[in-house]
Amino acid sequence: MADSQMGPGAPITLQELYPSSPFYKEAVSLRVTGMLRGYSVETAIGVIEDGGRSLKINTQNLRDVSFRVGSIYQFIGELHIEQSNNEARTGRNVDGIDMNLYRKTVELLRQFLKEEGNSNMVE
Amino acid sequence: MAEPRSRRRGESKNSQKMENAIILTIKELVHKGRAVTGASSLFSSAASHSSSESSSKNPNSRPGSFDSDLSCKFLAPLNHPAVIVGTIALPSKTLICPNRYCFRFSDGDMTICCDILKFEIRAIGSKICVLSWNFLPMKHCGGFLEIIKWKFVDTGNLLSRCSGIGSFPLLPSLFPSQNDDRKSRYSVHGVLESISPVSVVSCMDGESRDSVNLPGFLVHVMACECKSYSQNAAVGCSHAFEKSVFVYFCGLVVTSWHPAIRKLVGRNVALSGLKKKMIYVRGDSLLVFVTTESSVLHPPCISKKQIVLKTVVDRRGNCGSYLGFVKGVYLKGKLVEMDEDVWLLLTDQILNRSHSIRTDSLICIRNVHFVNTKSSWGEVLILGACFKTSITVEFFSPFETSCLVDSCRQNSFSRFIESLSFPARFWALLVRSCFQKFNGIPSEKEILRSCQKDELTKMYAESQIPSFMFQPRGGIITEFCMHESCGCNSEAHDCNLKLVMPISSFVQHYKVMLNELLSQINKNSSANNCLCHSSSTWKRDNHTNTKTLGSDDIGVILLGKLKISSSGRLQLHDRTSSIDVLTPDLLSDRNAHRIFEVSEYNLIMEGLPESMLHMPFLHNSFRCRNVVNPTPLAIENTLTVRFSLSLGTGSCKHVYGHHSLDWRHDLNEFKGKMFHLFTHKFPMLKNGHPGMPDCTSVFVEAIVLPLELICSVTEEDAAAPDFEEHDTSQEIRPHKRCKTKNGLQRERALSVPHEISCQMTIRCASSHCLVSAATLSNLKEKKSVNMLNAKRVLLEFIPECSNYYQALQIGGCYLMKHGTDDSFCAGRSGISNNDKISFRPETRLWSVEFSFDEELTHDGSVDVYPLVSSQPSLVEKQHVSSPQPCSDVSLLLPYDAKGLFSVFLKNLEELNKPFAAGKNNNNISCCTHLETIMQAEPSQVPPSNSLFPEGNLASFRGDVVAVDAVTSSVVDVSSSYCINVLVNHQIVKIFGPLRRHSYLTGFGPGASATFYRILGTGEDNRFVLTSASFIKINSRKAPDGRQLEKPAQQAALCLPKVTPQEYVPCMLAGPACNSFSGNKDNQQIKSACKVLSVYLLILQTRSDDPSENECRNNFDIPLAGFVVDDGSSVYLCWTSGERAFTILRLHEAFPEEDIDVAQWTKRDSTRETTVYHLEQIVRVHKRIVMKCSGSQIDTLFRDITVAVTSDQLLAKSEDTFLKWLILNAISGPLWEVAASSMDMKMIAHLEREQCVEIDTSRLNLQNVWGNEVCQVDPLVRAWSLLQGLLNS
Repeated sequence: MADSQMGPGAPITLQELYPSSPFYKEAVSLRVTGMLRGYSVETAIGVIEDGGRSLKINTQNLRDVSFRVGSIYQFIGELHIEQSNNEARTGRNVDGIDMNLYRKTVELLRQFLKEEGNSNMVE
Repeated sequence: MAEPRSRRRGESKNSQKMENAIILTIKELVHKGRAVTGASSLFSSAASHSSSESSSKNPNSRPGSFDSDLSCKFLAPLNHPAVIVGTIALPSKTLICPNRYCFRFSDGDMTICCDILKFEIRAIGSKICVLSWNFLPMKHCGGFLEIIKWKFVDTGNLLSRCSGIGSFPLLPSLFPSQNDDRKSRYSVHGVLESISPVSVVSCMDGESRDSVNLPGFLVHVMACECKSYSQNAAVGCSHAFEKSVFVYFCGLVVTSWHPAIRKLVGRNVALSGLKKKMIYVRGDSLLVFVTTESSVLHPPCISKKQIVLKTVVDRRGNCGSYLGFVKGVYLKGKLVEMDEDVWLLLTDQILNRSHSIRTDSLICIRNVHFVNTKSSWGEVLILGACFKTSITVEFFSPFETSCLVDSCRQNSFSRFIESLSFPARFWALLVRSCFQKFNGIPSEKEILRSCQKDELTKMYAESQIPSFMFQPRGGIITEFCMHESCGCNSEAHDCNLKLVMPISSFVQHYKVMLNELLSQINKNSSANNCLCHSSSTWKRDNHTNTKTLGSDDIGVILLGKLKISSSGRLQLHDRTSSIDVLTPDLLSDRNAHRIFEVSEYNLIMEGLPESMLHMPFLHNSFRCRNVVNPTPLAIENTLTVRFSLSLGTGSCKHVYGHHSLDWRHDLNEFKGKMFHLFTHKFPMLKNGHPGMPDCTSVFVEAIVLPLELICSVTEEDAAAPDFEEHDTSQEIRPHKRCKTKNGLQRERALSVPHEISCQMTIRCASSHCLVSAATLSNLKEKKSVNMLNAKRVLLEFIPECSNYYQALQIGGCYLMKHGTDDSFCAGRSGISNNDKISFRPETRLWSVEFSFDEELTHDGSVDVYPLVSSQPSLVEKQHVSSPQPCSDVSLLLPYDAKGLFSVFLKNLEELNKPFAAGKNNNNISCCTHLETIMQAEPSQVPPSNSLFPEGNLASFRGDVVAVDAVTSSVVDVSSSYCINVLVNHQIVKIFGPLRRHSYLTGFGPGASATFYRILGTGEDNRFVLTSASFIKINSRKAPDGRQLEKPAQQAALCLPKVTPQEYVPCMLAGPACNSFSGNKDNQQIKSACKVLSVYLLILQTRSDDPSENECRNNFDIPLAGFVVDDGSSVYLCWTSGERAFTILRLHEAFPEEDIDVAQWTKRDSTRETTVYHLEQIVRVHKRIVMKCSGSQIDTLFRDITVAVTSDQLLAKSEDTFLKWLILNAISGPLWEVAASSMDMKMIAHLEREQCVEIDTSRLNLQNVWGNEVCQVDPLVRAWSLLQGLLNS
């Protein structure tokens, strides 16, 4: 574990987390956003939902985030397929976010990065 | 009858059973004259049988049934239980009540009107104890008692209660009833369906000879056909009530039973001792039972019916009954508002209206017509009361609302109303309520004196209501007995009449609508909406965001008077409010008392938020309640939208549309009179101030033409034509082509004979046109007219005439009536250039335009050129087809007179720079709109170092393309706007301090405007508005590019309001422009940034002119420097005025918790903005300069110095406040700033101008000038960014 390099949290939408997805890998760093559906204080596990899909978030490492069901949160953390959850490194409340805009922006960002990468390769 | 009377003695003390209850006398109540309720005694221990029956039905304890008007006051309750003892009696002549048929209540001492719930026939004449009541004072008969709960004083009487047995002779008779009378042996038993109002009918009674004019009323009973009437009939249920029977209650005494019988509608009754009569209604015979001396009424037993506390509608066919609460009573009870969009019409004068129909009383309306009307403005259910309708009050209103009193006698207006179908009646009543206060001012002697508001409504309504909406009335008996067939049933349900509305309600409606729209936008500013909005152009200038609604979509007519407000705006006024108006063809006869109908217009809403432009407007229907009761709701006004109307040509009609008085009046003005011609040059403004002080005279430079107009209409001509005939076809000119002799034309170019015949078209207020022959003549006999004799004079308008001043158009030609002592005339020969002539209030002006007709060529050899005189010289034209004259008078001159006039016009042109005559144009009006020529020549003056502007004044006309912040270069500190005008396919830029509040009505992109006295800056196509500038709007285009109206040369004239403070830097525009225009790479950059710190802030008081204070805060920010960060770099952004106000967030609400400023804060809504508090400080210190003297940006307050110019020291709290101001600015939102870079020259200029040391080198930041500032909605910005990225 010690040598595993921690990558930047790639922003994704929850819809993109399906088994054949490129993001669906063990310990991949992700930035996920969704509305908090439930939160258990005992286990520190919260469930966020977006676009009909949900994801468990292990928030045991988070300190300064207060959780309110119904608010929208964004977490950066690593995916653990076994526990089928995301172990959050950090998180924040992003109430007021326009999810439509966010989705489009993520797409655009990815497109940009891809183009950028391509051009770099050509060089 | 004898029975209750016998009990009366000895019972007087019985009421003493009511422990604690004080017995009130009516005299006491009337004497106090206060509206009180004695309903509290309901809860006294002495609840009798009748109160226990429905103990929970106290109206005062009724749950709030609807949101009644909050202004309603509850009736004052007595602080002790109180009862009233007295007798109920039928109406009689002893108590004259305007409502005629009311119950009376008498306690022996005094008698007043009353109404009673739970009425029983037995109560009449019996002594009762009123346990619970309302008393309302009334002018007519002292007061009105509403009996809520009562009991018989003699409890012994109770035994017979509910037995159903009881018979009441209709006539008090000395003898027991003689049922054996052969003629009066009939009896009727059935359900009382309806009752007619009392009317005086000649009843052909066989027995008595003097049978004429007896009052009486009809009742309709669905009777059982069983022949014998048993005493128990009322209880019998085996009867089949199927036969329709009419009973006529005849005679003075019997008629007094009307209120009692009215209470029995819907119940079982039996009548005996009737005789049969055959009557003839519309040729049909009808069997009617008539009451006789021995007739007896057998009342029903009171059934315990359920009382419902909500609206109940029971409809059978067209008629039905309606139970509901009264929401408002208007127009003396003719119009009663029931529920939302349900209106009861009580228009028939003969109807009996009860006093107790008050706001918030529960009434049951039986046999009322249900008429659903749909029209473009909304849908309304009309309850039309006819002769069958009866209204009973089920619960009295607990509020102190006024009683309904029939005070209006039958007049021609009420007869007119009665002759209409229900929708038309309703419409006419709404119109009537709009006219409410129009006649308050005695005016226009000939017309208004004789016209009451009713007459006004009648006249207007007659012109509007189509003939099928009139219905013949058949009289009371016909309509009652033959109800289904008499036409009472067949209303036209479609109401195509446009709603007439008070202006305040109209504007309020759209304000509410916009607010709704705004909240809707705020609610779902979700993805899709934003996506489509972001693609649209981003505009900061809110006032250019305009939306236009056409009158066809609105479906509302406005009525009002045209006035020019003190700010120089033309407005339509009515009793409630006013609205700015833009009209192309305003008559000069601005008689302030004429009422105009505005039916075709475009409602312009300026200043909409960007997001709203793309939203479809909601089509809320108009509330009729707002028409009759135009008290604007207090809505939170988050929008500052200006409403104005743009009228089409000829759409502003005088209300007396077809009234012959009107044109006759106009005709008399012209008949055989002589007029002077003069033309108006530039306004000579006193001291160069455009805002006209009310107390001083204003001057106008005018040119008096050496011609006089003589109207040759004679008395005979005026009488001869048939004016009632409306000829809508285009009028054929009453003259034929004359023989032409061209030879002499050229020679006559400069001098023509002393008389020229012409045809004069006079446009009347009623949109009629009179055509008449007239002669233009030169008074100097036998001498040729030399147009060069035109004299320049100064016209002085004393303050009383300022209305005329406002109406004058630059370059317009005017007629003024010749009077024996007018100064034009008296000093005629003596008038020399630059004479001063004062204008008197009684002088009337007409605008005049000239046109030339090739067909009208005169024979040069004759001095006088008569138009063919055998034709009637006066022809009325109505609805003149285009081209419609826009001036009051238009003169059609012979074509060869054009030579003369071209000289004249050229002459005029030289004097009047803005106008140039079209070359190939027949129709030369004084203010031609067909050709637009820029008169301004590029300045030849070499740039000077003077601080004052130098350059030529120019005037031109063009289409406003955009009004924007200064885009290409920073012209001046205070020039907040640049108007881009398309003149001759060239864009001309006009810079100026035009601010939002000084915005002209209808000004903005799409407006075609004429700019007068615009200062040329010496640079190509760049001009500056000065305080002497003048803007006239000629027409407006709809946003889609379609022109609302053909360009018409006259329009509402408004003065741009330029404050002197703004004006001064504007004067610097010339040199400033010259010095900075070299900076060609002055690109404007837009960026979103946050304020990091305030570097410099100058606050100073504005003008001392009190007129400025009311509309705006009384201080200005001539210069402010903000350190801003756009995320990538930090720079110093300089700005001034309103932009600085915005960045400092001065117009936002004052956050009290931020700082302890108890001494600043007072509980007052107007004082909640920061700007208010700041104003207090600036007023004391005159000029405050706050400066950050340190070199660090981040350290707050450390190096801030505050300098004031006043002698007073800055108080600690003031200092705190000013520092808080900076803090507040720093914690502000993201701003989008459009800025252009500044060079050192410009900074030096600013330093010199503001007398401050800026010393920008310390911070080593780039200096920019902020041209525009607006708050950034990050979401909107993000979407537009995204959209841009996706598109790229």
